Amino acid sequence: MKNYLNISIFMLLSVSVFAQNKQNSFKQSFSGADKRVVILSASSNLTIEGITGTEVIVESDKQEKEFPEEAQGLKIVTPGGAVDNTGIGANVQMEGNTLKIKLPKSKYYGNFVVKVPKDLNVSIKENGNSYGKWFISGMKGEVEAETSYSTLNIKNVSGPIVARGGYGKMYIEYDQLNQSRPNSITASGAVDITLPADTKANLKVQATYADFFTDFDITPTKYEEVNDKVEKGEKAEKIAKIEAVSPTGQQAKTIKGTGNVYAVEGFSTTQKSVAYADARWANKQNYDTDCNCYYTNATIGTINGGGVNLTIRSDQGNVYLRKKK
Amino acid sequence: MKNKIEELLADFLENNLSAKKKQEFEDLFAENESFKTEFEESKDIFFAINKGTEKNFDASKDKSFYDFLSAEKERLSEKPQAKVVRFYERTYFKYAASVAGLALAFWFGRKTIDNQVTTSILADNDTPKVIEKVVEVPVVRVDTIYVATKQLASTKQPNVMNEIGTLKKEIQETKDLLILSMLKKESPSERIQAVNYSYDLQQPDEQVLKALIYTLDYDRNVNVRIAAADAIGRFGSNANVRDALVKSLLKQQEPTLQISIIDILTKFNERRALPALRLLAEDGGTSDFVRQKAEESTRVLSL
Repeated sequence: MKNYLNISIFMLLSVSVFAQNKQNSFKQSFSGADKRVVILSASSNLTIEGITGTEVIVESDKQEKEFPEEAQGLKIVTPGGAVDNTGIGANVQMEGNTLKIKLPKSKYYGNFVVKVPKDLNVSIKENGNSYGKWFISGMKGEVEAETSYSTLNIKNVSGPIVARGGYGKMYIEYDQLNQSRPNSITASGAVDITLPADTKANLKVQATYADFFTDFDITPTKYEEVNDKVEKGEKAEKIAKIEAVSPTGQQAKTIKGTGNVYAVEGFSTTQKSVAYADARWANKQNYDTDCNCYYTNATIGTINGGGVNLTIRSDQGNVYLRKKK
Repeated sequence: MKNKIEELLADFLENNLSAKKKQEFEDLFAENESFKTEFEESKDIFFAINKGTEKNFDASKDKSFYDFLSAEKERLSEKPQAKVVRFYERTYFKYAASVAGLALAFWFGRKTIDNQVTTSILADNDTPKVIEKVVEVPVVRVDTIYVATKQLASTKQPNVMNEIGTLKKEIQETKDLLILSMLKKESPSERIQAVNYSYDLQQPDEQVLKALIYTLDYDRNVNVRIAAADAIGRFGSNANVRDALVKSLLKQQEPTLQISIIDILTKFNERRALPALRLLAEDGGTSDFVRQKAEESTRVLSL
């Protein structure tokens, strides 16, 4: 009889212990315009999913966690000194318009999945582990990602994307290209980008020690035509239209005739004038026979008549820009 | 027993005993002869000791000491009341002075920096120190300092200064827009857009350059720094800009940025980059292709 009692108590205890270890998700309500989720990850593999909803959900894929005996009653600390405050190893802090999530290493807590309301902006950075695989999908807000050796796989996004890949491979597939703000994708290794066939964009592509492949028709921006327009503009009134500073129009302002700060009138959006100025600058180097033309091995041009700026650059890997099929 | 009697004796001689004990003592003397002789001897010794000490003590000195002491006490107790507290000795004056000093330093610093930069950058002469200063001043502070100057100007300066003030203000507003949008935006794509905005400027502008160089050195996003390097490349004919780029080259860890900067410096034939290129080529942490690039550029610049 006593034995049975002992066994049942033991079983009850063990069930409660397992229940504690089985907790593998954490929710935090977080939504609204202009808000940002910053993720610092030491996890090996990381998945970010854009979802409809108002909650950020952090999940780990490891159901049963076996901690070393010595760690009983203690909490894990992610690199950089953030103590677990979610029960699943992560440290989550709300800082104004930013939700900071720090994820621990994978040994005890497994790989993490973070589900984010898709209109939010996300920034993802490595925190101690630089050899993982990242999957980002379904985000409609801005995506900022920075890796050194991790593989980066971004899908079903609309930009703006500001991504930095190290020596890991980088795949980015756009559903559409948001025309509001510039996109910038740079890497040391190879970059593979897929865009819908009718995407309008100004391209600046540079594969410094490698090559650039595409099936898009790129119209190179020519020096003479741009230069003509700029020269004409220079003779026009010196009026600075600083519409460009803020695309939302918050700081739109016209300032008359002071010093050397002026833009060329008629170039209504910065996107266009940047493309022109860029081409003018770059092509001028090609025309300059005296210089050693190191600076310009970039391809500057437009696809489908031009649009938002898309800068792609790699040091040693090839750049592939393909139409979505 | 004897000790106790001796103690009692001492007390008796000093008249410290109660009346009852005194009586007991005297009875004891009457009874015991030897006790009495002992008592007489003790009495003699006791008074001899007392006399000796009294003899050595100078009463006049004693008095002068006590006079001095009381005078000193009086002086100390009176002084705080009699003392006139001057305004600069008050505590709040110290705080006010330090605040005023700070404001003055701000104003003075603002003035000197402004003058140096306008002349040197626009004149495009070789004054490497100036741009160094420009880089070191955190750009975020610009508007705070500006507010301080504006307030001072509005209270003190005469009419002519006011005119210059409004002119300055107009220019400042343009620049402020740039700088603020460049550095305060949380979104990296907005910061890239702000950097791109500099392509609309036909000539280098000191505040813009300052902001671009600051972004190149300190922005937390690599892509924004790369965009800044591209934008700065257009102003490479300015010696101060090249100087800032040489300094920046040793700060950068990202190969893409190192390549960008080497490209600009090589294109503008900046020989002052040679020591930095050599350091980069010798550094074990440098990527192979960057080392190759650095060696290549060293050859080109040494021609």
